[in-house]
Amino acid sequence: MTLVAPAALLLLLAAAPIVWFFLRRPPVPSRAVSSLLLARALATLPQRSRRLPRNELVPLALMLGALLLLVTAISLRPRDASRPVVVVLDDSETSPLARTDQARAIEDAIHDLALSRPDATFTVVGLSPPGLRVEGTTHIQRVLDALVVAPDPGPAGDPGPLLRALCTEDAPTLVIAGQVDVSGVPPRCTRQFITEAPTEGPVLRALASTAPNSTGDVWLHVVASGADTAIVEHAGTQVGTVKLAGPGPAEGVARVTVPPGSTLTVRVGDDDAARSRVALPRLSPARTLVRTHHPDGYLATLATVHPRLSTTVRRPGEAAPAGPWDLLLTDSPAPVADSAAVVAVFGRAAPELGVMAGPTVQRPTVTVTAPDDPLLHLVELDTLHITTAATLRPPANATILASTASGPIAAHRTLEDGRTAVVFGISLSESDLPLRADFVHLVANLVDRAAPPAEAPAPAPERRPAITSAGVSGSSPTAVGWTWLVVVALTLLAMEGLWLARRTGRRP
Amino acid sequence: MNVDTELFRALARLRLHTPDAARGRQQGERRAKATGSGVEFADHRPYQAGDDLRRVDWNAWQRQPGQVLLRLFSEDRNMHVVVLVDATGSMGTKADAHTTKLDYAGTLAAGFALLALANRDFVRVGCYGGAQGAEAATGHDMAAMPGVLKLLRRTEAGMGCDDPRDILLALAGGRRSDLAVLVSDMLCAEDEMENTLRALATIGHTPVLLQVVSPDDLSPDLSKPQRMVDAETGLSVHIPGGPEVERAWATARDAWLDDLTARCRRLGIRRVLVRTDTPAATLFREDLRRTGLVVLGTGG
Repeated sequence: MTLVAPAALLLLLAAAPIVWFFLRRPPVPSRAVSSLLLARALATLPQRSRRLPRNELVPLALMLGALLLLVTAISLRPRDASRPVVVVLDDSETSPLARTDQARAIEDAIHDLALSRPDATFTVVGLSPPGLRVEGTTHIQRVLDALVVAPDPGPAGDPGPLLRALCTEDAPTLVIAGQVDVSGVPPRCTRQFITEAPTEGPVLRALASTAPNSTGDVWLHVVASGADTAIVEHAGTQVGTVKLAGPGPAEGVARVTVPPGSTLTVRVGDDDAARSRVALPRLSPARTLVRTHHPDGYLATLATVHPRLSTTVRRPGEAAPAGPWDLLLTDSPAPVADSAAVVAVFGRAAPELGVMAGPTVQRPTVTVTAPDDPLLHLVELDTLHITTAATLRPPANATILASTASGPIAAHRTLEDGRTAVVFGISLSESDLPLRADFVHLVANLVDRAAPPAEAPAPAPERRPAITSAGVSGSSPTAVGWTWLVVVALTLLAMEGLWLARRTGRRP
Repeated sequence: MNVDTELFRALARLRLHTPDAARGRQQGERRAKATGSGVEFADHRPYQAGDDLRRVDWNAWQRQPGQVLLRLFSEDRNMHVVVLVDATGSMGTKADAHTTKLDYAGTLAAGFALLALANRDFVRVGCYGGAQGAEAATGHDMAAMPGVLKLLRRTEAGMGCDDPRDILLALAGGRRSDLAVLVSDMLCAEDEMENTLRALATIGHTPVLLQVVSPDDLSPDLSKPQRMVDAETGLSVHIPGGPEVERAWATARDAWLDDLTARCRRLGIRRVLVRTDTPAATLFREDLRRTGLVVLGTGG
């Protein structure tokens, strides 16, 4: 119930006794005098004495005020605020509800309708087969839940008998979602159609992206209608495409690699409605120290060119800038003496990190034991070609990433001081790991572990199909009642005015 | 209007009196300035050719031979009295529970007519402003009294648009009356008041205004709010009650009466303020006697 309804009711209740008292007020006595000649003297009276007497002014002002407020309340009251609502839901196979975007838009429309009618009871009627989905509830969520339907393969049934039964003396408002024949509905029921507003040309409905990972990869999710391909542009240059498909609005996912901090434009057409943008967050560089005997080797080169890394390469034993470091990469047999959040050792065990050495294996068959570990995201260690590798004997609290028949070959553990130690028994020079994309992903995963990426950018505002309400017909009996009330009130006011005029006569 | 004929008994020993001699054309019981066929010796004058030889004073001729004198006698003539009653709507208001101001005015007019007719004065009684329009009754003896009463009784207060000035002049008949009496409350517009008083002063050697007012006219109850309705125009005005209003009303009333008094004094009109709560008999026997308009007994 809104605030206006009780206020109007209160005013009505207050106006009745005021009008009654006003009509029953003692009349001002009339005196026939010989002449009003001497009454001219009252023109010299102070203004205070010439006002209407209190017993006449106050009821008059109250009555007029009450009537004005009544009319104002009538004009401000929400129409049909308490009339029941019957939602006729086309849940057949051809229903627009089968399309996700349509369903959401209709949900929004019903939600808005429920908010505008807080006192109304909602009944949801389905068509396939015709029947009540929800009966007479004011619980909005129940109504919204009833809108989520599984399309029935059968054709839509005739809702006429059910609607005629529901169109009682309460004269509910019929809200029709979809193509429903309501020709048999009595005219006293207001009919409101929810239909999708027609659109011209392709429309990009939704665009979302992940945060760029340490390799600069961004995953895009595109939802569009009227197009089967979305073009991804960066700085005016096409950097990728997204294939779109689907029964309703087409959608697709694609990965593009762009520098962090870039702004991507995704378009399915030339109109504004057919394009959208997403701004990728900038990533803070991870301070990385590479300890290697081969400054021009794979590890040092990859770390140097990696866009996410701020790399310093040093031979073992060489002085390095003061820390702290986010990531330490080393393929040197020298023990790790530097401190970093994540320490990655390749080609050997790392006793200084608590991972002891096991026997060396030749041409092992690698089995990934923790495929879901973030460090192995997009990394396939089981397809590596390894000549020689060192097995590991990690402590019990370590996570074995990959293993061979002779023992673990990759593991990571968290040290007591919170650092992460990642040890690969796979030598970069005795395997094809650095030649594969897996190595790039592995380093990216290490960087992500050392310096977590930023939050994903906010998705572009979703463009849901516009819902229009049309075909409202029938008259509200409540409105008719209020109209009559206003007419009666104005008639009473006019009668009162005539009565006063008759009693007053003309003023000299 | 209802004429209280009980007044007539109280008027038995009264008669009208004017400071001047009667100027009636007919023989009456009032001594006139003119000398003629009376019985009371007035003076002598030299005989002129054409005079009635029967009036030659031969005794005086004997005492003063050679001088023929004519005996002059005071001639008794009647008075010419005009009585005009204001029958406008304002006079239709209540004087008390049973009578109106017009009833009271009609009684006064009848009283004046009776006093005049009883002394064989010529009387012309008229009404103006009434529902029947301006009417008049004329007579010079008591035989005319029924006609006067009939006129007064059939006159009702109304909304007549007669101009009292014209009526006064018409009643005078082209000559100045000895006594011209206007019975009115004089609750009218200022210009109408002035014109009426001027006409009254014009037609009468002794113009008299009997201003008939009710106690309600002078001191209405204004303690409470009320709506005043003009008896003549029907217009109304809302009057807020209270002492302040009463004071304002009293101030306006006094100013109105003072203004009327000043106008009458300037025009030589005798004004008598007559309150309707004063019995008519008392008015004639006391108030009008004090003014000299009514005297006891006979004589002129």
